[in-house]
Amino acid sequence: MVTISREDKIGLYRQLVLNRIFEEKTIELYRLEGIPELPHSNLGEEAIGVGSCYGLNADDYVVPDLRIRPALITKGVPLNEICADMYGRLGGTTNGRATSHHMGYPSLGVVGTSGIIGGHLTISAGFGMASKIRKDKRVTLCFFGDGGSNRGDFHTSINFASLKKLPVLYIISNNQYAEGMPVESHISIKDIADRAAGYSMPGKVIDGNDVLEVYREVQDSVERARNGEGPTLIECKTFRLRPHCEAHPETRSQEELDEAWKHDPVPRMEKHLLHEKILTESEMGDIRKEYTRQVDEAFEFGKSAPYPPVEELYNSVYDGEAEWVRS
Amino acid sequence: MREITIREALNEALQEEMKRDDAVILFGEDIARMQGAFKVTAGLLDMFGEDRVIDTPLAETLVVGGAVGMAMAGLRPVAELMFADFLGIAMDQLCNYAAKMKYNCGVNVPLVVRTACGARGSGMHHSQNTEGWIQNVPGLKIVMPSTAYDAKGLLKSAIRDNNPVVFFEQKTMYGLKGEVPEGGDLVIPLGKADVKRQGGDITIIATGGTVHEALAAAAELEGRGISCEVVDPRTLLPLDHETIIESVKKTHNVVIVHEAPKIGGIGAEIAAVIAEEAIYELESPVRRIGAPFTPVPFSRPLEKAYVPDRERIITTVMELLSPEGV
Repeated sequence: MVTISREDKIGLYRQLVLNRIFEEKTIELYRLEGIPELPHSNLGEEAIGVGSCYGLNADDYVVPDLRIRPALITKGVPLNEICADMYGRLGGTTNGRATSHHMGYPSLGVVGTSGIIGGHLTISAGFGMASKIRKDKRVTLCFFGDGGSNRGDFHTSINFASLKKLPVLYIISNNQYAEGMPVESHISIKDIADRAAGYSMPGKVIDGNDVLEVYREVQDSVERARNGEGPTLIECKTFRLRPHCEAHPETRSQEELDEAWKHDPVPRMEKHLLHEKILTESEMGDIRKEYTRQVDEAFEFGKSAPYPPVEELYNSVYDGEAEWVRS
Repeated sequence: MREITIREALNEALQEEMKRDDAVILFGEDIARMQGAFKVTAGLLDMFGEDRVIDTPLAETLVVGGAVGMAMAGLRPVAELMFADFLGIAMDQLCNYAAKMKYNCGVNVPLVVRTACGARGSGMHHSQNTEGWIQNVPGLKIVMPSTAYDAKGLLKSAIRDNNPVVFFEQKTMYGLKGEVPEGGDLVIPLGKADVKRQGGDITIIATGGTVHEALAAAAELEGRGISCEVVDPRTLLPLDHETIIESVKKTHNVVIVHEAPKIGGIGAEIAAVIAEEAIYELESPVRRIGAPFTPVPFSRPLEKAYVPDRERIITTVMELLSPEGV
């Protein structure tokens, strides 16, 4: 079993706080003045991306879905660039060509994906296959939700990964809702991880709101994958504290939401750190202040960066000269 | 010069590129032990081993999606979709990943998807020419060779290209022989049409298998005193406007032929390009010959009526050039 040092506990906590503040700021700004990119908030689900990516090597691959920004931030994607992409400005990763929802960051192993849920599952198997062929010891973390697990690509990808013993972790954020659909209305099984048995690969159900458990379990499976023992399906139980996106009304009862907030991963970790005497209230306050300033600055950067010149429209459709894209 | 079949030419191209670059790997259903449904990958498993010639399960989303992942990770996969009809299954992986990741995150997707198209007595789900399904997807390139020489040179270029290329192989032509020099490094740039026959009275622009029907028609029409120029675009995306327009300016009459349905086919794009860039050069209306707007039928006489052939080309040319003599 993986043990977690004091330093790593602080590191995990810092990422949780950073991501929480980033989400809160996103929601606030969207309400107050609008953000061109419609936020699909991960509020309450931060522990999954943070705990999964905290211990990865710099060259390990992360194949995100749209609600797993904490994975990107933990992998090291700069906040300024995320914000510039959210506002469609220069200074981001694509000079306004694409939103941050499915951004990639190749130098950090973050794989660009698509705005269409679940298409990246077979892509992830391809990354795993490339690592197997090159024997480069990289692992691939493929993130998706309970909704995405309903695509046929789920079957296709994990079957192939298990068959070829690919170094891929399939990490499900089961946040209880696919857009408006409660999980029991669209999935025929209680624990999606049970499906792993049908592919002769391990499946685990873990508490996705406990960053320490996520970290431990993912590290455990990462080691297995690196040793050539194949993929793992990890289902992280969590709860989506916001509607599917900020443009949607809240359709769930206040009672249900109040109950979910009791399991908020951030105060849970704070309680642990206080109990273990790893951080004091005031040290945590300082961390919050530090990240509030950083996040404010990043949004300021994103908002005030110039728009791209129209010329950018034609860039990077193809590699190399491609005059015909203007026709 | 040495003559080899299109099948052999493709196999040589794969072999040479795999020897040239370790990153080139083959990925698809039944391509390794079975050596491909049409035997294009014959001998390659023995030559390169199972890490580079990889059989996949029957799952086109994986064949294309997995290959996209490998390409984004820096390999140069050549995926094989057994039939072009199966393209629809992998549309998300092809059109939303392969075609868009350069724009989305700056990453090249050096991927080739080889697939067999064309009617050959196999009915509606194993006979289609599906290039029309993807010809307006920015980010893709589309290649359709008609000779062994072009097949080899274009496939080698497609593999070296840093963009996703869909490579259509007319399945009736795998056994067709043509001149291909032995040795050397035969590379034909994508995006360049080829004039397959010089002529002065009319331009026949034909793709894939219909190139040979156009050439047969041209030979027959020569006996009737009509000189046909046959242009094979070879690459449908990007399309070589220059060669097409040059030929139109020379002959002033145009027939466009392809096996895909006429409605919404590449012929519509070619006709529009001619209208935009050279309409005043025309002495007669542009005519298109394509399949009717029906599924590909099974029964032999029905299929024969479906696929554009030399008789339809001859009739159309005669209608245009000597309406009284049809």
